[in-house]
Amino acid sequence: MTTAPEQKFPTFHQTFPAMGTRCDVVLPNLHPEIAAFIYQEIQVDICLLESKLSRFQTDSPISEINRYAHERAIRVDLELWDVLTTCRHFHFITDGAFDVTVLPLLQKNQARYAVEKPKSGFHHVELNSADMSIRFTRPGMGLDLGGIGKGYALENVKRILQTHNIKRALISFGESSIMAWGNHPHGDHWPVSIRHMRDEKRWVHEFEMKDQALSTSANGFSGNGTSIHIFDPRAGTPAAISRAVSVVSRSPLEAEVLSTALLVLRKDEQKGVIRHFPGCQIAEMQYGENVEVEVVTY
Amino acid sequence: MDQPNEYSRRSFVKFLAASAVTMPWLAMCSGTTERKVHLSGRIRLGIIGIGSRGAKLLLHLQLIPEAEIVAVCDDYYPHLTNAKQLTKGTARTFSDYHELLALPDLDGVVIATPPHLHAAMTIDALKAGKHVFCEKAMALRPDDCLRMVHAHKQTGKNLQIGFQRLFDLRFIKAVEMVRQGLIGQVTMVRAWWHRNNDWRVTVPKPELERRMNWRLYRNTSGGLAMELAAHQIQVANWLLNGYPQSIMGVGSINYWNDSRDVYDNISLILQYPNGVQLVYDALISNKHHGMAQQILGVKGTIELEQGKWYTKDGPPPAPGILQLINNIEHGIFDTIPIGGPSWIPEHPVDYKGENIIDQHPIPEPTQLELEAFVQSIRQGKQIPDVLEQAFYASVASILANNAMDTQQPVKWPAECVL
Repeated sequence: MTTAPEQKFPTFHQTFPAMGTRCDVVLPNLHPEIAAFIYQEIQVDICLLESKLSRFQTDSPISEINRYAHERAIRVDLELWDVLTTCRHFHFITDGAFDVTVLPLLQKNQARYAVEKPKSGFHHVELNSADMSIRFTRPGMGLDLGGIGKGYALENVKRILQTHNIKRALISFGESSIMAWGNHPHGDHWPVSIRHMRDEKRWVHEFEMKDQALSTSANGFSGNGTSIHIFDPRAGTPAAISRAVSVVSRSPLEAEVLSTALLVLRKDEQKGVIRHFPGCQIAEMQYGENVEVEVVTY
Repeated sequence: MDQPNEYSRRSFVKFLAASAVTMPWLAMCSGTTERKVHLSGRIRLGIIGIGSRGAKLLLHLQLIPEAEIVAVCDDYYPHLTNAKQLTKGTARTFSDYHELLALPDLDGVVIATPPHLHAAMTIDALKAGKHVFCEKAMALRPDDCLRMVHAHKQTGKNLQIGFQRLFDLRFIKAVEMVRQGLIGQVTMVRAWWHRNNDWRVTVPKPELERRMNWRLYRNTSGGLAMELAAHQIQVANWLLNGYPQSIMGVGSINYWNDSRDVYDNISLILQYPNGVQLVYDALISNKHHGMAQQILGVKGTIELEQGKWYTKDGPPPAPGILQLINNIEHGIFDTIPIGGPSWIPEHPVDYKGENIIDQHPIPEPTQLELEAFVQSIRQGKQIPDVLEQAFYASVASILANNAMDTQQPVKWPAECVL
C-alpha cells in the first residue's frame, strides 16, 4: 500500500463484446467526458480491426482469403498486410511454433488430424509485397488470427493511450490479454495475478506490471474456452495439455505470440526461441489431475 | 393418447409447478394428457360456434383424454356438419344454443361465436349450470364484461376467457424475470401486430356478409383493438401488475376502404400507474415488422415474441474488474486476479442476447388453457386470477376503441374495478 494520490474523478469502466469475447476498459481519474472519448476511440478501433481479422464475419477480408486464396492471390489493405507479415515474422522466429494456418486442424476432430496436417503451415502461404497480396499454395488452407488478433488490438490501444497522453489504464481483453498502462492509482505498478485454472477463488502467480501487456495461453482444460484449441502446427497434433503459460512484455504482440509458442515448444526448444523476445517475464504452470499446480518463472 | 412432444411436456409440467406460486392458475395445468382416465369419468363438453377458431378448439379438446365433446352448436349449417365430422359423428348437433344448454349431463361449454354474442351466451350457460370457456374478446361493452363476471359469481360456475398467453411458457418465464428484477425497473412496454391482408373470409352468398365477416363491423366486432391488441394489453397488464389509468389513441381506415367500419390501422398509448406506458400500434396493410412485445427496463430488455432478452451493456465485466474499481475508489492497492484463458461468451460472434427459455418447441398455449379449463371443472374450482386478467384486458381494449372514436383520452371507469 502506498500513499493514495487524490482521485479527482471516479474510475471509468465499460465492457463491450469484441473478437468473440469481452473487452473491459478501466480508466482511473480521468474527466468523464475525456474517458468516454478515449473509450469510444478504443471500441471503434477494435471493432474495425475485428471486421478485418475475424473469420466468423463472412464478409471480412480474412473470410475472403480463406475462401479464395488458393484459387487466386487476394490483395489486402496496409493494416492487414502488416498483420500478415507480422505473422510471418513470428512464425520464423518461433521455429514454426506460432502459426496462424492451423484453421483446418481447429475445425476437425482428432481422427482427421493426419489428413488435415498437410493443409497447414505458414510456409505454404505466399505473401507478395509488390501488390500486397496473399495466396495459398495448397488447397483447403485457412487462417485463424485468434492467436494474434487481441495482441494486435492492444498495440493499437497502446498507440491511442500514448496519443492522448493517458497516464494510466487497464484494458482486459477476455482476461487472456491484459494491458496495464502506467501504474495503479495507489501504487507504482499494477499487481495483476493469474487465476487458478481449476479453482477460480485462488490465484497462482502475480506480475508487477507497468506499461506492459500480459498474455495467458492454456490448453486442455475442460470448461469455457479452455479445451484443446492450441495445436502444434509442426506435428499436426494438440499442444501440451493441462498447461498454461503467461507472458508479460512491453509489446502486447510479443506477449501474445510467445505465450502460444511456449505451449507448443518442447523444453529443449524453448530457450532458443525465448532469446528472440528479450525482456519478457514468463510463468509456466503445469497442473496435476486436481488442483495442484507447479509454477516455474523465468 | 400419444403426445408429439412428451419430453418437453414433462419438463414444462415441472416448470409450471415451480411458477405456480406467483401465477396460481398454472397449478391447474397438471398434465392431464399423461393420465389414464376411465371413460365414464370424463368431463362432458359442448361447443357453441364452430367456425375457424371453434374448430381449432375442438381439435385441441380432442387431445385431452379427460374431456369428451358430446354436443356442438352452430346456426351455419356447413360449420355444423364440419364439426360433426370432426367428432366422427359422436357429438349431438344443435342450431339453437339454448337446446344445447338444456342437456342435463353437460358439464361445460366452450363458446367461440362472434364477440357480440358472448355475454348473452355466457350468462345463459352459467345460469344453466354449465362451466364456461369463452373465447376473447370477452364482450363489446364494459357493462357486458361486468355482467359476465357477476353471473360467474352468482352461479358459482367457472368462467374462463381465452387469453392463451397466460399459458405460454415464454411469457410466464418473462414475467418471472421481470418480477425477479432481472431487467430492473420496467419503464416502458412497446408492442405491435402488423399483418397484410384484408381480414375477410370468402362469403358464399352476399346475404351472409355481415354474419361471416363479423370482424369487419362494429356492431359485431371490436376490430383490431379487441381482436389483436387485447392479447398484448393483457400481457402488459400482467407484467405491470395492474391496468391502465387512461388510454388515448387514433385509428382510421386508410387502405381497406371497403364496406367495413372497423379501423384498419390503430395507434394507442395506455398509461399505467407510476408513469409507465404501453405504446402500441396495429395495421393490416404491411407485415414487414410482424408482431412484437418489448419490455424495456433500466437494466435490460425482453423481446417476448423473439424469445430473447438483453442485458444493458452486453457482456458482464470480467470477474475482478469490479473489485479493482472498488479498490481504486477506496484507496486500496491490491492484486487484480483476472489473468487467465480467454473468456468465451455463449454467442461467440457478437452479443445477440440470451434465450428467455432454451426449450423448443414449447407446449401449445391454447392446448394448456383448455387443459386447465377441464381441470377446473374436475376440481370444481375457478382458476385463480385468469378471469380478472381477461376482464381488465377486455375492458382496456373496449376503452381503446372509445378513445379512438372520440379522439379523447379515456380514464379507467371506477365501476370497472373488480
